[in-house]
Amino acid sequence: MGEGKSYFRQIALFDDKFLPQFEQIAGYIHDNGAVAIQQILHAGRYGGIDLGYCVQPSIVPQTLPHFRAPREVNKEQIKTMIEQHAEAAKRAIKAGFDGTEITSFMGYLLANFNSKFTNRRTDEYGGSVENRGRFMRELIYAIKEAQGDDHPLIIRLNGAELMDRHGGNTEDECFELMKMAGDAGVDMISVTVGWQEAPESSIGRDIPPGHWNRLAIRAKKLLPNIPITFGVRLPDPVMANQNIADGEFDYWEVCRPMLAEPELLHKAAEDRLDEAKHCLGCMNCLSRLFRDLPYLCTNNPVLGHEVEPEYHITPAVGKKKVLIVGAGPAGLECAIAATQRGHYVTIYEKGESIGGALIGFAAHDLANKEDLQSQISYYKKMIEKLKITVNLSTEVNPKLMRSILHQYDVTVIAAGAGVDLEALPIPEQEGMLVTAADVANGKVEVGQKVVVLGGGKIGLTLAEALKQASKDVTVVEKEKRIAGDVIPAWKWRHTSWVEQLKIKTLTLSKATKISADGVTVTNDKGEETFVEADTVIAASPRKSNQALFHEFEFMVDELHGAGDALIPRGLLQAIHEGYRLGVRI
Amino acid sequence: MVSTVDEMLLDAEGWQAILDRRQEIFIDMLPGASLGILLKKKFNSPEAIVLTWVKQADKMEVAYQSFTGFQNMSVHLLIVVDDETLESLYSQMQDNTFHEMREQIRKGNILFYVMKSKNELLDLGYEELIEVLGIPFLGTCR
Repeated sequence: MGEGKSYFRQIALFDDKFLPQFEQIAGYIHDNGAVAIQQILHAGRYGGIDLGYCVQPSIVPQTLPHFRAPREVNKEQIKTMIEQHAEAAKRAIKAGFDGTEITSFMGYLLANFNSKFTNRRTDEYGGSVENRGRFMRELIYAIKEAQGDDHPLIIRLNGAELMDRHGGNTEDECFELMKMAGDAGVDMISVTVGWQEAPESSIGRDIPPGHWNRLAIRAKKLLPNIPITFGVRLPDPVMANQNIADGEFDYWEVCRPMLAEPELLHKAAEDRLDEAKHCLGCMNCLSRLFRDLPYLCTNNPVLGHEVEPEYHITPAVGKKKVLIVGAGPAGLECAIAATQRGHYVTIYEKGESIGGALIGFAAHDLANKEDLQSQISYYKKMIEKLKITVNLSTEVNPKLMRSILHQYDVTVIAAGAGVDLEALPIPEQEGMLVTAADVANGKVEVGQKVVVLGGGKIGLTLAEALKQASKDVTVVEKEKRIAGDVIPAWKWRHTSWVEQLKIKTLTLSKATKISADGVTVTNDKGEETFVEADTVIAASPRKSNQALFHEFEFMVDELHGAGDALIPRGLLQAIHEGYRLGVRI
Repeated sequence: MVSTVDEMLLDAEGWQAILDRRQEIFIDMLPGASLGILLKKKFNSPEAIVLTWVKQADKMEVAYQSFTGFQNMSVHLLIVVDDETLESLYSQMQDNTFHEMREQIRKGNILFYVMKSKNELLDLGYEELIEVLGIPFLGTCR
């Protein structure tokens, strides 16, 4: 038992003892007017998370070390697994679910049988597509029989595995299997893309929305009488609606966009999509999963904490006047939550518009810029809707604080982080050294030859955009590797871009002199290199806003901080801390 | 004169020179840590030979073993390459083979099997090699 379990805290349906909980879940779904379908997942190659081994049709070692060592299943075990699936389906129906779903993608058990990458059997379950699909057909027959004709069975199938270069199925073989599933009697097909171990992107921000629709279109043409569902890298309900109207597929499938915005469907139905948060395609959710941690969402601090009152917006017992310093994501999240609780919030922002560091970061993102920019649009809408006062182009300093002394009960410092220029050599020529924020926000122009000090996410984002704009870019990083502060799911993306764009990187190195025509860089062995430069961009070391905390300590009753102003990190922490503070002030 | 991919694989001296040039990658590895390179076309061949790099007390050393299926493999990491990719790696022998390996892994031209778990690999000192080769260590999450 446990061979099918892929993730910690995964729910299970292998025993009647779980029925009460599943009855409750089906009840919640029905109470809200939806159809309840229970997915039955045996993770196969990605399973056995508690056991130290996984089961597969054949022994094919893992390509990702997160997963467990493989064991081959014999025919008796195959029979047992099919029976277990059928029993689980029967149990789901008994619990009140309307139907069930099995899944053959990502590299789970069913996909392992279907794919020639993992199925190298020589018996009737391996070899030809017909034989590899035998397990799937037997599974479909068994589940259909167990749950009866009144309850639909959905199957998730790869339109493309993206494993063909490693000996996996071709797209044609994927569609052959899809046809086979249709002929075997499934009631609906969900078209998916990719395996966990596929060597290319499929669902991240670097893939344009709608990129994979062609696979759904092909499925619809192949099986016009079977409803096709689709949602791979399709985060926008408006786009999905149009696709359905155009006959590309029948139903929109949505997962990550609803992790980011649980009210997405209601807001779409009420024509309030401008009040909806978007999935940023950052993949933080999955990168957590691969560290055996529960899902979280950059954009939704409540995800995984829905039952904890501390995370909910509840009316404030005492209405307070709240001053927020900084209109970046931390300050704005705090402002929105606090206002929704009934507090009177005023934001002071030294920049000319709201969004903070996100504005420049989004503008230079080499992936789909609209994803990050949608976040700023959301904030603008909410500020307008909640009538939150924002004083732009107003820097909060001790002088201003003295002028508004005693007008506010609470002050939140969410002014973001800066760069510690004192940690860098003094430039010999004025204007030679500029900050990453000023470059990102278009306040300064850079020359043709650019040296970026700091190979973290800020420095790299700028370096990539500048290189793409045909500048000569060198990144200097004091650590052994670049992208040290980038989330695991996006680290490969930056290093890949740096290599593709042929950006020169000097690691274990730091600037020791900034002269009029370049930077002297010294490595950990004390060796010096001179890099010609017209502009030197300071992206590191980042520095929190400690001075403001000290200055305001005896000026306000309650003083709080949130986001990079406390410790320079990133968007997730800014959003989460801002929100958590907003719900508890 | 090395001219065929089979000869390239068997050029122990050439591969050893590559390893000797980049010993810093293997410094933290414990003795016995090992990586194998297998030609894709030999996958189902009874005569398949695996080029192995095995960490000895002081350095990474080239050796060879027969491939008789995954179950019998003693290496911790197994690289499967097609002829073209091996030729490409071999052609970079005097330059930067590890960079070329990284490129080929990224392009999906090299398949990388791991015979040990994440924690075991970390304990065996593979972190630097994994970083150098850019192997997606925690799931590709793409």
